[in-house]
Amino acid sequence: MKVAAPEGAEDALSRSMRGDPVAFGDLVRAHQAMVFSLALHFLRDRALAEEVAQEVFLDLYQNLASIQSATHLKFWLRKVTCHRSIDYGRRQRPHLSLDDVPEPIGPIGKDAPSDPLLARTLRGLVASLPHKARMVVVLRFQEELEYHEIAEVMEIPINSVKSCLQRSLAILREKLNRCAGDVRYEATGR
Amino acid sequence: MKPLEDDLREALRRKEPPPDLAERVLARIGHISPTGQTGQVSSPAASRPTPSEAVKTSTWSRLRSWLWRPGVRWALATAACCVLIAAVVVARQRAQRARAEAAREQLEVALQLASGKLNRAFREVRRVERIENPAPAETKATRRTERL
Repeated sequence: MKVAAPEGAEDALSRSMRGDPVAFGDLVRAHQAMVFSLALHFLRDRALAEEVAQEVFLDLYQNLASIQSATHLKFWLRKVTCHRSIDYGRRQRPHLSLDDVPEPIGPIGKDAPSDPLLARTLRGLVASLPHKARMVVVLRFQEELEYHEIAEVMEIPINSVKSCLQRSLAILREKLNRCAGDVRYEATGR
Repeated sequence: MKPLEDDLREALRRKEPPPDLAERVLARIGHISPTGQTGQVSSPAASRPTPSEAVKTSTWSRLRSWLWRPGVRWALATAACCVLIAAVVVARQRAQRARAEAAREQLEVALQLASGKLNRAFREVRRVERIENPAPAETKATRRTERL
């Protein structure tokens, strides 16, 4: 999903590169939700996600000279957040397993537009995926990135992204159906 | 029935970060005043890292992240163990060689002493034999033996 960067973002970036701290603050505010959410959905720990977000922005400050445009900035932030989160995730012990995920109480409502319990269960199931697969899922469904964009951010081949995503979705579908006790999701050909 | 993908999109929607995240980032950078207001900032050019500093930091962070990889960590740990084992083996070999050297020296001294004593005893025996059985005529050979 390549969105043309608004003029304001380019302006804030160029002012930040000239050393304007207020503009850098604006840059942080503009991207903090993306960075924080990526880390939070990957790590499932608010404090750690905040730590990762702060480190990413500090890293950005030190590497502002290498940023070429607002679009590049977004790509750079995603990439650094991914790698930092994976590093933190590796250090995080114990690894969250499916047994740690709370099971939904009773059958899940089939037509509920927004089910907080289902969302929580899904986030837990995503957190039980291996690191690489988890980050691919988060980038795909939080940031709505295309396969090639995920491949660029994670520095892996595009075919790995495709297979990883397919496998992850199959696992999630199976686990969720097992949790729900009925067939909620059918396998799709994607 | 909603597809799983839609539910995942809903579950993984962006979350709002803590409201003071930006201020904390700026505080860590050192641009913020003690009052905590972003408007009162110090000179940005003064505290901004130079390009060489930025390169140094990024090189260091790259090196650090490379060192944090599990494979590299295992390799480093294995290498450290090998060096430690090699050092212990070399130290033990040196100690053993020093002990052998000391033992050789002791043996040489002991052999010298024993040789001296034997020579003295032999000379004494010859002297006693000569007194008890004086030979009528000494040959050249017996005289040489006696001198020895």
